Amino acid sequence: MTMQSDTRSSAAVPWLVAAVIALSSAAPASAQQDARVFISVNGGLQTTSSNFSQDIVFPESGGLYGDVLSAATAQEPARFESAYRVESGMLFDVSGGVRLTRNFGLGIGVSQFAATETASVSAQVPHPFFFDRDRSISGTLPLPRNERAFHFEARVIVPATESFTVTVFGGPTAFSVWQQLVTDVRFSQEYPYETASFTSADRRQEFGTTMGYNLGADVAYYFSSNVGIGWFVRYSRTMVELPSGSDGTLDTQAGGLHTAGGLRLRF
Amino acid sequence: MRTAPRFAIASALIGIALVTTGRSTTTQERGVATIAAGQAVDLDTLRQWDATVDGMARTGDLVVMSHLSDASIAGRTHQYLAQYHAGVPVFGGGVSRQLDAGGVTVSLFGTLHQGLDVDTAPALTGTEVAALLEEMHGGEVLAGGQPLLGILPLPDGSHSLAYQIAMSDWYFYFADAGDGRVLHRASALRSQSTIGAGASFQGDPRKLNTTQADDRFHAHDRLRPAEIVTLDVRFNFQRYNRLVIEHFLSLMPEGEPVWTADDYATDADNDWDDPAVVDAHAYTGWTYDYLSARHGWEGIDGENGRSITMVNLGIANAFFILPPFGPEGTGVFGYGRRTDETSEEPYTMLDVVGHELMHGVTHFSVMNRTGNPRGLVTDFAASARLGPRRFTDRTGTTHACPTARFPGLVETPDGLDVGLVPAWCVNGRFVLASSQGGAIHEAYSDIFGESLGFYYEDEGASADYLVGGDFQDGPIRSLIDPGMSRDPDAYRDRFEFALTRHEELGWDYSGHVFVRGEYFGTLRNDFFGYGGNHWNSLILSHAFYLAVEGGTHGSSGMTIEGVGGADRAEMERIFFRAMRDLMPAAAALPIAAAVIRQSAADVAPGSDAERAIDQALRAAGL
Repeated sequence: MTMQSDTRSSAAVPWLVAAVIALSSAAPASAQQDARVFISVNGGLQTTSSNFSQDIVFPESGGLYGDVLSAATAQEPARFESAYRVESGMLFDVSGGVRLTRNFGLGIGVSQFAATETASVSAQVPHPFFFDRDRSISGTLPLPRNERAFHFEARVIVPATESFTVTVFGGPTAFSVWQQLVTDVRFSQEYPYETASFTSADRRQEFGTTMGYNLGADVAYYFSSNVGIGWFVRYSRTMVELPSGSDGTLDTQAGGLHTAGGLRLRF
Repeated sequence: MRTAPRFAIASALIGIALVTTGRSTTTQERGVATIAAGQAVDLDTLRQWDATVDGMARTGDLVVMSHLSDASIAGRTHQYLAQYHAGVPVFGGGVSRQLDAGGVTVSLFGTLHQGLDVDTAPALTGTEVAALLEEMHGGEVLAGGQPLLGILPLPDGSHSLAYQIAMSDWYFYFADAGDGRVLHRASALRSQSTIGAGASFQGDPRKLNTTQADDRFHAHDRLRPAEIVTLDVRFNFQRYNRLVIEHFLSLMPEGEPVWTADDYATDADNDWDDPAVVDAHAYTGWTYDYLSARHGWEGIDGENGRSITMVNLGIANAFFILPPFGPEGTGVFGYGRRTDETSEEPYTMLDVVGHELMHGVTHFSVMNRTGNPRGLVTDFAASARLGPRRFTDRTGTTHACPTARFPGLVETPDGLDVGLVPAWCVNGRFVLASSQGGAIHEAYSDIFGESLGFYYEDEGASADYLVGGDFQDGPIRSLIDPGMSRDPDAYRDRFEFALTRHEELGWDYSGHVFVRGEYFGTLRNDFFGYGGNHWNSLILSHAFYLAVEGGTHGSSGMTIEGVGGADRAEMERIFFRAMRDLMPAAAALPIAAAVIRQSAADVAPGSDAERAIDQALRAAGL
């Protein structure tokens, strides 16, 4: 079994690193920045897309023969490949933290990304009568995916003006991914079995969790002493290992470039 | 929930039973107690188990599901007690208890699952799990297949609370009652098609369509529209006799089988090692596929009736026996094997199997259409003619009409035996004839047996126009060169036989052979009644070969421009249609030739195929 993962994202990491360095050496903020607790609630997008795939082989057997790929291993192995593409999608984010010094604080953010993507499945189905006469079938099916990330952030706060605050942040991220994966392929066939047609696929929701990182920047405008609006850009990433097949695993990227805006509160 | 204490008692009892009886009639593995307490165990063990069952019944861990009278023994009854845990059934758990007239337990058999520690409150309802299954698997919950909550024992000794749900794909799904995950699925069908494999006698890998029942695989193909059954005679004459004639002798209705599961060709692991079974079963399927794909002919009888084959016969031959004989009264195909001191080989090569099956097709196609129960008549002395008034055989004996007598069947006080039968003379001359219907039968079987080789050339089949070309001793006939087997290629050179005429047994073929009206030779004294079916078949089958491949006809010297291998399929269709749609029930070779010409004119008028057929038949003198 082989798995592949491919990610396409903006070149955000160097940009963010440069921003952190620059802003951490900015001029001191005005004295009105006495608030020690900040909260933000955001809606936005996870703009990064990624690909991954499964290649599952069911070993040959002389077992029961039916219209399910794992039961169609007619003395020959059967295999299917499924290709998944995680497109950009809606993101919900809540963050909060405390300022420990004039320019430095700690925070934690929770982001939730959900998307239902169309996976393509192709399979090779052994012929019930003859060797080396696999039938090819293919189809698509929607598979939901959920990512939840806890971003632990060291925050460098740069109060640019009385109302504007620029914050850069970074740190580790704990990712959890729920992804439906194809576990088997169903098809229809009839005598003389020269062809078969994809009908559906069995799916199972798999779960994986791992640590990654995040880097980002937030710009906030406060139109009162406690309430404002803001926008942030965050890049977070890791590879999550999911169970795949009977004894295999699959690596899929979690995270990506987040851009979101919303309410800012400080106390 | 913790394991019930009574299971600890049961475990102890198992230990006692095993130690004190020394018989492994009760086993315990991974928390499963398998109980086999009958006449094979001592009474104390049975009583201990009986007490355990009673105790579990009192607490509700066993529930009486049925209590039925024994159909054979008066007063004897049978209970089935299903295992429950906290009010939830344990799938598969339970015991059968046989009781005598006094209510005393006679035997106990079953399985009890131990160590149950399962919370019986499901997180999901059956409806929710059913909806999840429909979403995940695309099927539908069958009407009446309401989810049944129970405890599912798993192979690792653990247990899960699960719903059993019957789905539209004919499987029972066992889905976790906590999250809907499928834990197991089991077929709802009584028997299942399986794919086995084996090596042909030639050593080629072949797939076999089989059926699993109990713990064996049967050579029973249910994947094709017509069932294909292969029975193994195992060189047992009594079995052979029963399969061939018992149905007929018992006046059983057509289709009602006399064969049983014991007659099947079977294999324990679906990796078949008897090449006779492999070849006969696989090639019968291949022939079905060929007939269906190329000619639209469904099954041997054209109506997708079950095809039954017998292998491992104690004869060096292969055959088709017409209805009403055979294990279901619908005919049967039989394959023996050639054996000598150094080798043996089954008569189950592809062209041989195809040859025999084509006999069935010829029979049924003509019978279905003409109503003649014997199909294409093989012993009709078509084109009989008068021969010489006298001839001298190779022993120097002169035979003259009307006094000549030839070996044949006669009635004796002990039954039929070989004796001397009067020659059939008309106007003082011997009557000569051959079985031309039989020759047509054989020609068609050779033609389509060899056509199979070309159709399956990519599968490694021999495409060579040689009948039995894969036999270790070489082919028995050649469509390319009838002279190889010293058989005629022209109608005028056909073998004919002087006929005998018995007052009570009727006419028959003698062993005296004639060619062009002249004495040719004499068969062994006990070899009479043969009408030259195979010998004369090459007149027609060689014409088929020439119509396809072209060449010079040996005896006529005529050159035939064949259509070429690329158009072989068209030639096959023309010949097949002639038999399927046009051939009369009683035909001589000239009639068959006319029918084939008509078929060509009907489906391919003015074509190269029509021309080639005409050339080839004319070259054969037809």
